[in-house]
Amino acid sequence: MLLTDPIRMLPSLFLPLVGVLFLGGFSPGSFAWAALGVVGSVVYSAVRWATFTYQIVGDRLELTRALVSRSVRTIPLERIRGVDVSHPPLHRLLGIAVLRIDTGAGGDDKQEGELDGVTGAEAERLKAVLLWHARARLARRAGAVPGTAGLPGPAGASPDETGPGAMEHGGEEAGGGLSGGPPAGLAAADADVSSSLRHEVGETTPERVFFVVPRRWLAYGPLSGAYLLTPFALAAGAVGAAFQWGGELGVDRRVMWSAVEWLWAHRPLLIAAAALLVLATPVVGAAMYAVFNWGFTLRARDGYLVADRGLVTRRSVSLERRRVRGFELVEGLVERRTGMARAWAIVTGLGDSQTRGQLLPVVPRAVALDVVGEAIGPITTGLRAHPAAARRRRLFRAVFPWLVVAGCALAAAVTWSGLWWWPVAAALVLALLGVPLGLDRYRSLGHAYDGSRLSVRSGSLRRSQAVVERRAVVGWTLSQTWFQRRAGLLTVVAGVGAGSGGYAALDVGEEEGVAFVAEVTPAWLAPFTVSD
Amino acid sequence: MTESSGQTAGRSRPARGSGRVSLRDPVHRVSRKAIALWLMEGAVWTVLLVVGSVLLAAWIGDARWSWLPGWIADEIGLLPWAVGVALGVLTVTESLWRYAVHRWELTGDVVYARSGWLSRDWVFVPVSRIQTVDKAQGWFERLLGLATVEIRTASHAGSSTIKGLDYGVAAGLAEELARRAEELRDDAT
Repeated sequence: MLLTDPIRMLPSLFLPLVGVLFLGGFSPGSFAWAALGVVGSVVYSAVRWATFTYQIVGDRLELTRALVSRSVRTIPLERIRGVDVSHPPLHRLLGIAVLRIDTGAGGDDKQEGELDGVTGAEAERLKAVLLWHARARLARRAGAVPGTAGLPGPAGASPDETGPGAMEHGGEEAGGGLSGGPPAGLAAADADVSSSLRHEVGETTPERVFFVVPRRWLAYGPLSGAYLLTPFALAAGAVGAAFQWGGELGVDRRVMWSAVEWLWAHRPLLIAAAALLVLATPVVGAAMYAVFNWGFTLRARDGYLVADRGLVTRRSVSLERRRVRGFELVEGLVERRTGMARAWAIVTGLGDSQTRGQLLPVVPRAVALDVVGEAIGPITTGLRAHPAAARRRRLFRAVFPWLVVAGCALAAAVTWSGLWWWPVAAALVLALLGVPLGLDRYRSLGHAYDGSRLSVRSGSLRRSQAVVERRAVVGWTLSQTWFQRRAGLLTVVAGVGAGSGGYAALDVGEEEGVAFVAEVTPAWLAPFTVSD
Repeated sequence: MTESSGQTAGRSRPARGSGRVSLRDPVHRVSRKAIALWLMEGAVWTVLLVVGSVLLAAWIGDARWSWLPGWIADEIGLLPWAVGVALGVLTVTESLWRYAVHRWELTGDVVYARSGWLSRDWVFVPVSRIQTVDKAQGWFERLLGLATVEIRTASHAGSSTIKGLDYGVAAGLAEELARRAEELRDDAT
């Protein structure tokens, strides 16, 4: 029994106060209500604060909430896959943090533990303790495997005598050098899972920085198209909020409408505002990107891949390296033109992997391959191209639908009205654009296997290449539509218990598809193939 | 299939064995009663869509929208018949075709199953990666004494559903898979 420490819920008190400062001035009538709300939430927060506790009991973390009914969430320490510590701005002002515990229980957030409002130091300490315990358990389990006896390291750090003293000790030591017992055991654990040698070396060194994204590379952000729509979202949000708050503050609806009418009467102003919005797009997009990806750092620490980023909210995501199965390299159209790419990790049981699994923001492609290759493992062969029939199929799929649309619109134009000529023209233009798109999609297609990792690539506007370890493959699906059969093609999907669940090599030749499966997992396919 | 032209560099890779590999069919067919199962399922859809088209025909016949050519509104009464005949033919074709395609096999601790009709799927699931094995029976399957075996792994793309097995066969397969999966459990995923 230790670490029993109540959580500070201060930020939730501050928000209503700030709200009152802003809104109170406008309308005294609503002040009373706001005040009541503040008092209410203060009381609520205080009660919540007083009734929420967390503690580590044996090999579990227990989060107890006793507000109305008593609820205890128990998280076995060995199921903890990662711990994120983030510092939202308000939290940062007050020197506290949010600690999120990832148990890989699926996408449901409720399943995971969240400690909102622990002090920064406590968050770091807790994170170290939780991760240390999670790893220590695994090490011990591996140590129990016959043949690897005699492994427990120096007595101090050995997790076996799980008395309170040992826990405390681990907690203090975890922040600094974990060079004692656990890593030795971990090496055994990982050797057991037959991961590559490089990883173990990485894990025995307490911390190793793979890459710090240089600050000037933040300028590449807009190339990815991320956050470009932010100004519009902000404007829409502001208009919505104006209406809502206006109503609540007792501002007459007619006043609001007359304001709208006034704006409509001064249309040049509106157009100028719209133009400003469009012009602001890249600037705001770049600024948002910079804020979120400031000082992006990828490092390894105690068997975890840790990605830190963010200017205002400093976000730190830890991915257990034992669970990393590969990576995905993503390039948008503009990014490819400029030789840039982004990278994500493919991790088993990681919820919300789109935001949490990111390994690198927009960086030069070569750098991305280097860094990810070092952190996770490279693919050492080039991709094999797919047969020419695949090109015809990509072209057909990019062009034909628009020709159908054009045909329908043409029929409509002939029978009904001349206005239908516009859609005809638009569809024809799109069909024409489909030619380079289809060709490019074909050029993107590829698959490869280098003896330990397989890789597939597809897509044009968003080209994505996945590299996955062989051992992560849990099954294969080969599928063939009517059209593919006529063209002698197959789609081979490698089932992987991580990331999106399946990675497809589109339109492989029939024989190459089967050969690819046989190459990656020869034993599985051997009983079912005939050679001729 | 014919040798495809183009950039097929993979052909010369050393890792491959000599000669060309191709898949053979899985050994076991599904139960013959599965044809009846697919016919019944198809019949349900046919009935639903015919009823839907009767309603649609009645609506169009009443409304007689101006943008619709007159002959369509005149002959709209034929729509349900057309739908019914087309779907009927489709259902019979699909059922027989599916029976020809659907096959399964368990050899060397790998489940190999083929399914589909116009589009086809070949699925390989090694027993060591299986997480759960379910056998399920829908209404019609119970009526016919059939069952479906659902084999789940950590990935949807590595999961397989074998439909239309005789209940005894399905139970035996599910039992065997569960037992072997227990012995071979591999947690690499």
